[in-house]
Amino acid sequence: MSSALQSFEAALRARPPDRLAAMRAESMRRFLELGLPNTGDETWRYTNLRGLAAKPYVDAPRIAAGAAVDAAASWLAAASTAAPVRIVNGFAELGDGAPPERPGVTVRSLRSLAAQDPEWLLERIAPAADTDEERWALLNRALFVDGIYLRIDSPVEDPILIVHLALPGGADTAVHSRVIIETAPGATATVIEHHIGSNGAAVLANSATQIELAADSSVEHYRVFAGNDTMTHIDALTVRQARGSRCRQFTIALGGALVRADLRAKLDGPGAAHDSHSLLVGHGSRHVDCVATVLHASPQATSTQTSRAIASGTGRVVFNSKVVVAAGAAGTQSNQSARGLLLSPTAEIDTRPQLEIHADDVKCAHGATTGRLDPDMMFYLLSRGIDRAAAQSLLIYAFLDDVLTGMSSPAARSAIENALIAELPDADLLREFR
Amino acid sequence: MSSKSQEIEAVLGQKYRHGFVTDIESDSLPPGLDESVVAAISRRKQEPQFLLDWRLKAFRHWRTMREPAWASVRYKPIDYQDISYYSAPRAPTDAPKSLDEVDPKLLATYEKLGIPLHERARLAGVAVDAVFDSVSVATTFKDKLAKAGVIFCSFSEAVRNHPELIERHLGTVVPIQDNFFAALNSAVFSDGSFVYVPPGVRCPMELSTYFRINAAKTGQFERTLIIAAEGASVSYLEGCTAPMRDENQLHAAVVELIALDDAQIKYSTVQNWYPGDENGVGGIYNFVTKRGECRGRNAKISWTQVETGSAITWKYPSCVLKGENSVGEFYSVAVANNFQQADTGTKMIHIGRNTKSTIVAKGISAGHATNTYRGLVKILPGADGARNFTQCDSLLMGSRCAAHTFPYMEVRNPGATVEHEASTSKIGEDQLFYCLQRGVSAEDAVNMIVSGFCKAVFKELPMEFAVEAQNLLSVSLEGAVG
Repeated sequence: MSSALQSFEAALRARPPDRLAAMRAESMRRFLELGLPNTGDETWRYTNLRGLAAKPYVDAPRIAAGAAVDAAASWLAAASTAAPVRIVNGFAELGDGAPPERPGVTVRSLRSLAAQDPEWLLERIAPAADTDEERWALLNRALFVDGIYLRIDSPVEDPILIVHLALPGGADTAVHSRVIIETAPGATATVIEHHIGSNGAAVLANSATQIELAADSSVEHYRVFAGNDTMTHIDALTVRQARGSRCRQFTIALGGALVRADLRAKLDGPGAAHDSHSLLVGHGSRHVDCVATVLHASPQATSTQTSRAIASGTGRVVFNSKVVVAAGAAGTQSNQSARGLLLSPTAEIDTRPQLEIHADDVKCAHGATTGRLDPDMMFYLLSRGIDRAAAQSLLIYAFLDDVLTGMSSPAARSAIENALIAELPDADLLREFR
Repeated sequence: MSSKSQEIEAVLGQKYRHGFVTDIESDSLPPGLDESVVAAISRRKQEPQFLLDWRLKAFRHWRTMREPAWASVRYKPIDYQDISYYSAPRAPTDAPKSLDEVDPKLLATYEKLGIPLHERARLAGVAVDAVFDSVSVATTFKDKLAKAGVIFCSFSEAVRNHPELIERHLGTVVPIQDNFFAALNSAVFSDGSFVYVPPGVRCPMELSTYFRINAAKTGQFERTLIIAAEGASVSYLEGCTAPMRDENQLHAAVVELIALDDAQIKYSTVQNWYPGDENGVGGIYNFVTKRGECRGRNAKISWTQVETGSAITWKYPSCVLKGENSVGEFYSVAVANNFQQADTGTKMIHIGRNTKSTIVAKGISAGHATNTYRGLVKILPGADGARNFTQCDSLLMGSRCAAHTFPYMEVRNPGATVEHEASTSKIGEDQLFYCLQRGVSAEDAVNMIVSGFCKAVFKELPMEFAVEAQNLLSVSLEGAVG
């Protein structure tokens, strides 16, 4: 057994048992049985976890709200007028007593729910299927100490910001946080999850989010990974959508040494619509691996998957998307578009747009391209006196625009745009073009 | 609609036309596989020591390997000890020197198949190296080819007459460790075809081999090696039919193509092996490794395949594009009906500068069948200016079939351009309606639409095969919409 596995097992044993102990033990048993995924597993063939497996991890310490927490502010804070809900080193920080309630929004800490009503919580924690892709979610089930339960009961205008903050707590700490989002029929909301780590935090962040959409409700969900260069983000997002519900999902990878973002969406009612968008930026030596699976389990559902990947330096970006149309899901429409931009001879982009179709009355298509910036467009800009670096930045910015334009929260969009531009040369010039 | 679906049933229910067994005495080894069997095969074929050593090395490696499980096909475990690994038809003389000396029953078999050897050869100008089970029994047009300097013979003959070519090239494209089925083939391959086209020679005719599996419980392990030297070009056709059987038959062939500077190889296949009956009983397991290597500058390898048969197809004809400016092409139509399962596609490995590849794959699923396209496009760091275009489309007929698309694109050079597009749909109601209201019958309309769907591939087939391929498609699918 690798050091990491041993340390995970030891972490669970060392904790005082809570009222979810049986579920935790069972999840850990299954996780240890399966072990960490390796490149022999189909969805992990491009991401090697050997370095990670050799480390002994310790639980990140609880850090009370204070100067350290306040200093690590989210650059997405402006996207919401309300104060963000913070999860610091895996512990929900809801302030003293109950958090300030907003009409239509209920926020609870999972730890307090586990103490008050474990049965209720157990019903909500998604049963992890024993598939290759979900081993980290199993580990999260075993080890999450806290997290957020968010319920939306009515249309909510103002985006809800959840900040996952990792603070230094010694070498090789591991954080396991969980977010559960539920909507009432007809409710709408925008939820932004921002994963950040302050400098010096060598953290393995293994987070899991589940979204349960009731009939005719709609959620726009963002997850933004922006940890420092020593952080590993592993995130499992599961979405289940009832009849007529709509989910717009944005996955943005901007930081961290290794980012692995899973998305599993199940369209479980007729007329459900799911649009997922990914912006995967692999600058420096970052490794970004995104696996998005949409299961059409009901007829007349539609889905789109759009991804834009950039790799420079020795970065590597992997985009796996898969649309599964179950037997009987007649009238399915789905479209996948994956584009990759390779900016350096040592970078790599791997794309796998997959279709698995078990019904005949479907319209499914995908397109994927990988290449450099279009030399014709480059020439156009150069011939108009724009220097090469600026021209390149402009074209990169335009390349990312396909995903950015889909964002309906202007504040979130502008914050994300700013963060993207900051990484490009001639950032100031680009701002003028917006 | 119900009368239409009855018609469809009738068409789909057509018995396999080529299903019959010729009663020829077979000289077979008992079922089972160990080193002595490998040695026995080698001994019977009077092979030189280097080949025996090579087979044994492959066999030893095979024993350490596990059968691959990643393909999206399902079948009962194969008992490799229950298969006879050698079967040679017995002929009156050791080696027939002309068609007259060939076993008349064998010739009759070809008659039934609609391939009169001499007639076809004379009319079509095609040299046919007919492989019946495992040993070549008739080879024609040798003189004409010999005059051009082209070596076209059975693999065993090549081992006897040109051992230096075999020793130098065998296993250099598909090494024995490559995969489970290739290793098995390397250990026990019985015969196959060998082609060598010398520098600057354009092969004067299309080369063709008909494979036919005959003896019961006999795995077929063909080995084909084609070498096109500098500036040479050759077009090779391969077509297959097999008699009806209830037991599954294993076929694990290996095809290696080598193209040197400015050489061109075109390899076309029409595969129509027994697909099993309408309940999914029987049929051929077709686990084939086909790979071509463009070793020289400006070399070109083109694969065209029409896959309508076999219960299970596991086949990825690939191109390794090493030479600068070399070109790889893959055109495929795969049809799966009833309980057929096909997992097929290609691999294009771009190593050299300015290498180009094109992939056009059309999959048609009907009945309970599963049709999977699985293709890899890999651009290595040295492949500046490499280009790939991939198009794979699937057509679904009936609500119980499945069509999957699993492309893999791995790009490690910023100067490369890789494009992939795919679509999946059923036959459009509007297209059908258009044809019907112009008085075209439903079956003809579907036939037309399917032909149109596959046109991009059929136009790549040599003329002789294009006709056969169209016929095959209509037999398999005509009117399969309901």
